[in-house]
Amino acid sequence: MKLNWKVLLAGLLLVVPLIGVLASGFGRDPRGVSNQLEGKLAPDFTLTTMEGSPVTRSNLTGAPVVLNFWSTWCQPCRVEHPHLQQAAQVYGARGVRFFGVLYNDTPEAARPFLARNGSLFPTLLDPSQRVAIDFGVAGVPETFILHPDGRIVRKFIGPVSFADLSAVLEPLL
Amino acid sequence: MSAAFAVLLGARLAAATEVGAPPPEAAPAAPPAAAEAPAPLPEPPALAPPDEATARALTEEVSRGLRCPVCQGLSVADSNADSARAMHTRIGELVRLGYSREQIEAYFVDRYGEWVRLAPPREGLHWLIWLGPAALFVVGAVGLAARGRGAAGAPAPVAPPGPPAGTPDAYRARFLSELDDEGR
Repeated sequence: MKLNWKVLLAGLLLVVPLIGVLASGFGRDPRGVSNQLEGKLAPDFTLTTMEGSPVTRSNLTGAPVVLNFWSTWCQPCRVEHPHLQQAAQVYGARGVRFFGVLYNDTPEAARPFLARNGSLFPTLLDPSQRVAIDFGVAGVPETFILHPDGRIVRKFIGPVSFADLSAVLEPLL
Repeated sequence: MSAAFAVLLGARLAAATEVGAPPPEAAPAAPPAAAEAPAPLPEPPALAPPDEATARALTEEVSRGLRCPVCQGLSVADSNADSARAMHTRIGELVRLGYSREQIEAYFVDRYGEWVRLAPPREGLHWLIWLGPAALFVVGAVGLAARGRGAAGAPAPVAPPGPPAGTPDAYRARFLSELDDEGR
């Protein structure tokens, strides 16, 4: 059978870009596109802890900050909780400030969870999720590591391990 | 191009789908206290704070163009997910402060990436997605028309080989003759 080069060329022109688009789309974590704020100054905020003390982001400069958005109904948050506690124990002593931000959850649910599983750092309340939106949080858990100058050094989507945190925090100390 | 068309179609379908009741309208936002939220966006609002009806309409319009972060192809306006409702409230706050649609979209794109737009912006290479399918259709239509004209102008197609009606079938005769030869 005679090869029709025109048809072949037209087919390739349509199919090759399509394969390229699909290959690029399937090779990428769809949630990974949201690391927009890395390298930028963290949005400012003032939130209160569950105990009622205000915390303002701009007052936290001078030391690295770990900001962990979490909730009690989120299973991966339960998985990462011991890692965060361990990191808070090790790096809290070296000046790193740790904060949890309760996401779409209530202090009534968080208190017994923290009493049971340990709480080495304060949990901030963001009932309107305004700060979560300012940080581009799409779900929990998400963890931000802030440089002492206030820039976001790293954003973790999903549960973090002690090793993850350690790898980012060590160079900042 | 097909993928681009699919993206476009998906965006259009998602935008056109009205699922359930829209999320409750955000309560009118009091301007945030200076200590609490110094400036939602780096630049000042482009517009004067709108009246309530305009604010509601613009909030809905912007919400329809932004993607719910925890849904599959649903806009903020169409989703009842908590994250989407929080985004809807935030959009309402920014609208009431006088921020324009472009400023609010830029605010969300800065945080969630271009992904947060349900439809690609009409600028730069994105025009390819908007115009590509139509251009492809026009090219195809022109090609087909040209082919049709070519066929009409060309001499009448030669009739497929075969015996004229009523004459003996030469091929059949030859076949039978060869069959006879084989049989001998």
